[in-house]
Amino acid sequence: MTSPSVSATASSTLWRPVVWLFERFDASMTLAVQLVGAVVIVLIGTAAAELLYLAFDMTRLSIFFLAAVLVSALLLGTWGGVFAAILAFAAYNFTLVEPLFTLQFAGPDDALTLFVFLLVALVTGSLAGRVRESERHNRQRADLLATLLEAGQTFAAAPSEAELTQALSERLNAATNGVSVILPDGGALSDKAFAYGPRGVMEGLVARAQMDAGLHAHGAWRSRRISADEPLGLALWRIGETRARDVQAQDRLCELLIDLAAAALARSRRAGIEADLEADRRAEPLREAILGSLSHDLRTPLATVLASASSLRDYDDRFDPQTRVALADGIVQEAGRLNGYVEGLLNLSRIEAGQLETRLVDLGLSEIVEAAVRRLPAARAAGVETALDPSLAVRADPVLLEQVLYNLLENALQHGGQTVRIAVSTRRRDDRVEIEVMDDGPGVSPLDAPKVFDKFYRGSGSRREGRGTGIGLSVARGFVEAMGGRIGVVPHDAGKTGLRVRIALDPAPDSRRETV
Amino acid sequence: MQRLLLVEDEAPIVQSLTPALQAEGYAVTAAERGADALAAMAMEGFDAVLLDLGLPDMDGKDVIARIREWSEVPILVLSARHLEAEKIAALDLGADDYVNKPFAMGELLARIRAVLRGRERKFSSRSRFVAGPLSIDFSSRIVRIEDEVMHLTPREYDLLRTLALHAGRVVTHRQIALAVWGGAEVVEAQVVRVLVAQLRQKLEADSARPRLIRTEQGLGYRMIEPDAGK
Repeated sequence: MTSPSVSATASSTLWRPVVWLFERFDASMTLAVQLVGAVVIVLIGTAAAELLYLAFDMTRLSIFFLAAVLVSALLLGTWGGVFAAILAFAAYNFTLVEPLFTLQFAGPDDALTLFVFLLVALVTGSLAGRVRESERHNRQRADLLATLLEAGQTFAAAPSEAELTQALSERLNAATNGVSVILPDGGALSDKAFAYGPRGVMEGLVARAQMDAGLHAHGAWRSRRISADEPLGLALWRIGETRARDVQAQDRLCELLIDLAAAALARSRRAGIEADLEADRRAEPLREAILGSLSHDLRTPLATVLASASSLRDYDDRFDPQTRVALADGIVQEAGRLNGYVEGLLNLSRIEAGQLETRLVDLGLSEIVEAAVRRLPAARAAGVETALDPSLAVRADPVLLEQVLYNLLENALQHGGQTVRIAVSTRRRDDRVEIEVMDDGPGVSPLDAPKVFDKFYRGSGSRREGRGTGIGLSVARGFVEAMGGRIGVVPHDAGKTGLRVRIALDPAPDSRRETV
Repeated sequence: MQRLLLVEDEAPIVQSLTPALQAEGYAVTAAERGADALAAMAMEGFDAVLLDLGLPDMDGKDVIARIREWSEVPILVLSARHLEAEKIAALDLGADDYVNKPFAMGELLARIRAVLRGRERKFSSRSRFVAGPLSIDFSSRIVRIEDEVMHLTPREYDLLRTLALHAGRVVTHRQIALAVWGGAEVVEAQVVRVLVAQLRQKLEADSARPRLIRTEQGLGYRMIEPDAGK
């Protein structure tokens, strides 16, 4: 089966020699070349006609001379066509009109035929030549448009200003066969640039471009300001080998390239400013959350510490021993809470700063889970059920992983309510080891599920009640990711509520070998 | 025995405040949520309410508004938030005073005493107010510093009376504007400041270092408490 694209390729292959010819003859054709070309083509036509005349005694062969004129006009342009018409007229008369091999003719009949031939040949030659030339112009214009379009796309897609100016410089070099320098607004030429040309000329053109927005020329050197509403920089270039009659078009092309680059540059600056504003707007709720967190989570434990300590100082003699112990316990507990909070903040900033150092070792998973559970207050640890596979081992940092598990347990206790039950389970799934921490508290809506790992996100609705700081889960995520693992919220089984967090880590190499 | 309603969702704070409050002779009832607080208010009478603004179930300011619909019980706001706007809103809604968390026990107890005395004053028929060198006779509108009679404009007198009636407690710009201008027009905080400056000029020995009328930065003004027993 032949697809359309294949046949199209075949036809363009067929045309390639013709296109090649057109392109060859298009390149800088002087009158002499056109004349010689016309002679050659007419000679070929004449030879063909003569052969047919001798071999088959055919007489109506003027069509060969007209064909030679047409081919000359198409290949060489108008002047080539006109030369060919005159040559063909002479050759026709010389070879096919009686008396043969003279430029004379026998009677008025022949005379008329010959002059009509000349007229037709001239008209055909000049018309076909004009078609050829307009085709060439169209092609040049299409090339120009394609160049500009391509340049515009490249400029718009440039990821940075540096790459944009680099792209402009390359386009200018290609358009002029020369060299170009792009200066930022207010920038000055470096010593390196003076390797390309005379310092005085270059500096003079830079100064002129800074003052006036137009194109400035000095010999082969050009300069133009890159500006769109405001000056963005300037371009300085030296044109390479270029025919004098093309210089004007080339200058125009360069101007267009610079304007395109200026538009792209202005757009990218505007986009940059807008992106900054947008980032500011987005950061605003986070800033408020951070301030709220600092204000509430630092002051609340401090309030207990300060009230308890000042009570003990002022009323010591009026309190019974139990009250004194209770107040002192409150101080110890809240100081611990404060420490935990500060610890969390430090961890968070270490994660943010990318300064987390992990020490990955092979760990028995059940020991780590049990260590994290042991850190919970004894009364709350009773509500934690574990279903652990004692054979599982992971490649992880023991300190970080224990903190992750502790944070998940603490989060479930804080948000799950007084009677919350927590289940921790481990299993192997595919080539990773999974740890799941699940509670039977109110849980989060599927909509909020991705937010629970956000910094200072502390739940909405009923989950807000808890004493969470919005730090524990984001630290957990940071730690898990630092260890090369993944953490996420998993939807609960139908009919159940609660938060279900799953961690996936790489298994320890030993245990991997066991299962393979 | 005076009864206090402590509305606070942080159990450690409740536990840390209760012993000293009880030692001072108050009976303390704790409520974790705004709804619990309103229910407790409806069931039994309290002499004062200590209210945390950050409650799990509702905005503390709504609790103030709901209580003020039917009760004049003194409300003392305990807030961890150092947000001026929050405090001004709470005071304008009818809270009597505030204490910033964290606070030492002595500070809280002094504020509780002040709001309780303020309520007594509200219902007393005493016609004289004496605080340090200042004395005000409400029935004859005569104001004295030491023994010298001060001549006040009607607005200056209204301002002084308002501050004296709330002595020991903070009075917001808006509350002053309502009391002095009657709320008929919008009064800029700047206008209140100018009036306070005029009054200080007449009453304070050194108006740059006022002793009678203190400024509560960003909130309003607080007059010193009256001398006991005069």
